[in-house]
Amino acid sequence: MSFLPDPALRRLRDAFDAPDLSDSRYTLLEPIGRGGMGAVYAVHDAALDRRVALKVIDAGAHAESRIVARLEHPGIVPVHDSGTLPDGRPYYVMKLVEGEPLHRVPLEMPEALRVFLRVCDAIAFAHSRGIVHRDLKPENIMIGRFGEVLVLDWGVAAEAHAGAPRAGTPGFQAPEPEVTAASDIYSLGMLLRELVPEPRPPLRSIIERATQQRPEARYESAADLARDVTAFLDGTRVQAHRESLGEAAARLARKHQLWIVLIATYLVLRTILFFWFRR
Amino acid sequence: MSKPVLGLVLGGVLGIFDGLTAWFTPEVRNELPFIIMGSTGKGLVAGLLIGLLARKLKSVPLGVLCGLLIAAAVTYPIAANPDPNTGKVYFWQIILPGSLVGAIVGFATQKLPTKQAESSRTAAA
Repeated sequence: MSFLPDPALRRLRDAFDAPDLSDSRYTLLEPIGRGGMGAVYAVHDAALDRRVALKVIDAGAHAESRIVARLEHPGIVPVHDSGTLPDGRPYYVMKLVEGEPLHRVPLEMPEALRVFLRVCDAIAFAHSRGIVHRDLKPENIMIGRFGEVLVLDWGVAAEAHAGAPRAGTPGFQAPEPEVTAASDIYSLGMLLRELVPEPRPPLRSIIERATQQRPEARYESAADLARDVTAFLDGTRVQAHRESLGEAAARLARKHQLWIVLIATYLVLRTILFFWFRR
Repeated sequence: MSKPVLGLVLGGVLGIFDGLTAWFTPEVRNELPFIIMGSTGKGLVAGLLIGLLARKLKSVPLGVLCGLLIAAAVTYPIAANPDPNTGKVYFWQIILPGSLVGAIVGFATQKLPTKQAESSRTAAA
């Protein structure tokens, strides 16, 4: 049982955890939040006179800054600097992204899917560099002020080939005990389910394929998953979905809606003209 | 698809339909292949011209009006000539459907997403 109320305890813990930046070029501004393996603070960089984010990494997650630094991609927050605090805790400095996490941004389906495609792109890039994120969820996707989509919190990321143990958040976590790139595909599928709660049949098939229990039954890569989502958006055939003749007709009609309307308009008007001249 | 190509394709498709409707007029039915070829060619020329002009325009009503006038101008020489077999002039029967094709192509070249519109949208993003 605690003798102090929760907010007081939290403030005490924050004060205790706050990094000592007295001998560095950074001045602490405010805590931003706690990620998978550390706390993130907004700090002022005196050398460049700008606000940046500083993440103090918990013990056992020393590789995070090196992993993120390897991933130079528009969908991944760039690392500017790294070092060690006087108390021995490592930290790294990255771009301070001003925006909202994905779960707080209301998005219509096409826009949500476009955001999802950019997440897939960042994850496909990480996989191509041999890194798995292991904690993909809406809270770790940031929509920036200028519409940029960034995958955050690589605190539990690991080498794809190392057979890293399961990590992340229940509900988004793949069932297999050893994490591979296929585990991120599973999390991407769960993310897609979260973004589009009531999907149409082709999109439902995409989610089902991405979230198969057996890793080998899922999409082979994030790029393959993105290709199917793009096909859905473009109104072309989705690989994961076996469509009926009616569905195919409806899809083609939706895709060529304006053409059909134009030709039908012509035929109706032409018929009217025909009967007009026959009077 | 660029606007001229869109105009060409839609003008050609509607031109075929336009020619096919001659089947319902028994007195010209035996000339159907020539009518189809003629109205398809007419549709292609008008569609191309409308598509080229549409690159300069950014207005649906103006696009429809220009399409209608261009198609009418392209159709006029055919509509004004008498039929070589019957000697009859089918002016309104030819010029009105022809102009209708132009109006629809004019609308489509303003409304349907084309390659130029897509790339300028991408550049803006």
